[in-house]
Amino acid sequence: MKKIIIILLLSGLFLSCKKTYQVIMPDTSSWDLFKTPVALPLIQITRSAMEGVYDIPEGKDIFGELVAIKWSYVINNGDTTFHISGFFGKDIAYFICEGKQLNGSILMNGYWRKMVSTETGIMRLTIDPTDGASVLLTAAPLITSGSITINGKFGNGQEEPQIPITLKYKRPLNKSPAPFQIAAHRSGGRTSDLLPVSENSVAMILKTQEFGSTGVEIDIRFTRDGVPILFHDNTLNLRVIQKCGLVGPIENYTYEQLSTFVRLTHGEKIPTLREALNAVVYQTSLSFVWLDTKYTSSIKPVQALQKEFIQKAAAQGRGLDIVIGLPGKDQFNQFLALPDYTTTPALCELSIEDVEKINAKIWAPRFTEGTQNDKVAVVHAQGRRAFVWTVDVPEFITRFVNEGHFDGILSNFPSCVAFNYYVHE
Amino acid sequence: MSKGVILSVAVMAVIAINKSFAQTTVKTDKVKTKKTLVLYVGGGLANYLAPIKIQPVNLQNNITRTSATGTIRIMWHPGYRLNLGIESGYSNFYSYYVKNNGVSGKLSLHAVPLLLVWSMPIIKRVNIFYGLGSYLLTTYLKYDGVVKSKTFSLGSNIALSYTHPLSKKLGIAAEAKWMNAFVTKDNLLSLEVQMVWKFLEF
Amino acid sequence: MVTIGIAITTTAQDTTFKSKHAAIFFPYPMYKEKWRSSIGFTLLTTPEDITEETRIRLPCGDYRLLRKINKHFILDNRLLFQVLQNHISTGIRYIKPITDNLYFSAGDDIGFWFGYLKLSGFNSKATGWLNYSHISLGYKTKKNLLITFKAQVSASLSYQAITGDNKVTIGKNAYNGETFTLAFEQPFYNKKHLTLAFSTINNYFYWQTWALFYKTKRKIFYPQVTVGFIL
Repeated sequence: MKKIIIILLLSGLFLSCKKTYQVIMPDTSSWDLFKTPVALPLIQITRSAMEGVYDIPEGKDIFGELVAIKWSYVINNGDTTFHISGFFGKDIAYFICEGKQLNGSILMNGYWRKMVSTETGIMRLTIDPTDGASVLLTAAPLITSGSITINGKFGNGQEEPQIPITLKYKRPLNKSPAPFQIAAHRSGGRTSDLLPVSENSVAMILKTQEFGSTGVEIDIRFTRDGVPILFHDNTLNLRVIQKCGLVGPIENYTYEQLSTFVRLTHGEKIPTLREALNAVVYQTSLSFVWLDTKYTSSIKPVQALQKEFIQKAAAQGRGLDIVIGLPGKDQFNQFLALPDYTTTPALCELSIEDVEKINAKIWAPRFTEGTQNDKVAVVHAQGRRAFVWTVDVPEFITRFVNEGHFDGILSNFPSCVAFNYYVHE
Repeated sequence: MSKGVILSVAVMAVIAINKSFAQTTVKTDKVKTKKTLVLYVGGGLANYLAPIKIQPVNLQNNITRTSATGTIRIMWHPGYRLNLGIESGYSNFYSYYVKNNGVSGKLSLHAVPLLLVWSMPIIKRVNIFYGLGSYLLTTYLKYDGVVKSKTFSLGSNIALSYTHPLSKKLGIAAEAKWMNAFVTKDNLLSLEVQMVWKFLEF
Repeated sequence: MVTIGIAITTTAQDTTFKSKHAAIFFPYPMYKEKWRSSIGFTLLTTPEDITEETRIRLPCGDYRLLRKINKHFILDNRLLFQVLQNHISTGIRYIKPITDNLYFSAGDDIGFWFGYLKLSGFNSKATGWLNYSHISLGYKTKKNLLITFKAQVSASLSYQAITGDNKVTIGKNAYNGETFTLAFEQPFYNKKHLTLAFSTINNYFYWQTWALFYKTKRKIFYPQVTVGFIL
């Protein structure tokens, strides 16, 4: 009998051996040089001149051969914060840093992350005056291949950075075809990819440009009292929210109930669609919003917000596309019920005939159908655009960018799409 | 690669054909075993063990974790060591009161297990049970209106039971049980007293 | 090679094991029979990492067919079928009785899986080869319950996926993960024997999830239940 008990205890042990993954964001505040008060922010001309495709002569075994470097910004309470992001070609890796100038050098301080794993760490980069900083800090920097060398170090986890990395300017970022949308899923990224903020939150909308996104797809549902909110799943569940005792469909609850009891994984409130679009228009430079329709009721309330925020973006001088996504026949029929559906910007995931019927601006097939260049050509000939969703396998992303003719790619890994698009020759 | 596929399929095909000609020589034992159906019904107290992160956070200490619980289970004893059955019951996982901007409310989460259960004796009168299936969870919320909302969570339970015979067919059991709704990460430990009734023997 | 080596250096002494102990997982020699098969199903729970809130998949049919080679070796064949995705494997198991109640086996299987999906916007198919090396320890109780603990490691030998006109091929001998199984087998009803197994699969890639095209360097945990009726 003892043997049976031992076996049962062993079985209990091995049945509970699920490994929990987490990514602990490294604390990047320990670089004293970067914190010195005399360090100044970089000006727009310098930031623009730094953007480009860089070779990686040192560090390629970890990050691959090339990196595409690009700046982004968000506005918080009137203050603009700039981030420089580097999109690598290996393991869906990227770095995100802030930049400053100090004594003629350019300093970049931040972290790196690999999306295929939980690997992350601190990244500190420097451009010395003789390595291109003196040129970059002029009023009209002239950048050529090899004229900028970024040296730095990175570490694993919270350890002090000690592994050397060198990036050497190679060429400008690719911009063809243009415009090309790098659209991020779930308002910028999935919670299950262990990002520091929750999917379908305002915080994620404000963060996603650092991952390379130029647009976002957001999931819309209605509360019991008719408030459009951002939420993907059919039910409240611990994949996306903290445990609070509320279970079942989100449509069972009022906005006040959700607002009081529910917090997303990283503590954010479930945002209303209005809050999300406000963030897009007034706090980011995102140029595309895909309102994914997770409901089958009337589209009118969402259409009203779409119209309102297209006007607000135009008033801000923003080129912002906001389209209503139609994933199925139920939503398609609801869209047809709108009195002015032919002039309402839409993205249709159904057939090209359906796209024509509602005069959708965008046709969006699933990636599993392949590049479909012949059908994309038909759509282009009609003056429409074609996006493909949701492409996450790096090898497929490369093929869609290099061999496909789509105008945008929806992905959970916008940094991978950004790398492939910007380094494409 | 395609040669490998063909080879594998061929191996399986040959084996399958051979099988149809083969004489199975397995002979199961001839000993007659008694088969019985046993009913367990009982109740007790349960304590919710898993962490909860409720909002607003100042209500963290306001959670009621202990409550009454009940079990009903029918087991089929085929006469060998391993027995099979089904289990249901009722538990109140936890509840708490809320007061937000002057508005009061109450939330409670209840569970009904719907499990397939295996059991076996490990020493005399002591059985171990393992259940696998679903928990039907229900939220009762009174705040800004009344909501009753349900969902299913995959789950399991494991129980250790001591049965004291009262007669040939009746017994009384003391059972410690750990319930785990693993999708919703709810854990409950219960202590129950159960009536055990061997209601059918054939 | 390892299993052959063990075979040469050991001898079987078991004479007490009777054919009433029909089992698939339990590592005991097939003394009297040449063939043994079981039909059943596996039920896999998929993790939120890749299937999000949907946590359960359709059962997968499971047909096992054992063929005696000699008293120490058996050929272990398995077909897992879900119509649109299937897995076939074959391998050799070496079996060694240690005591009257304790049995050991070691083996290696090669598996091929293939999936095909052409509906609802899918135009995909994929194939792959996997290798499984495993050891099992079995304990026979007095009441005819056979308890087996099996540890298995797998290697992904190749993977090829085609979506529309896009084709991705990854050919490498990569460590794919480990699986631990606890199996119970005993006579049950009408002289039939039942297999009940609980497995924890910790894999980078699991063939039943190919259509989700999920690829990371994180191992994913899949709990699995196997139910089999020995024919």
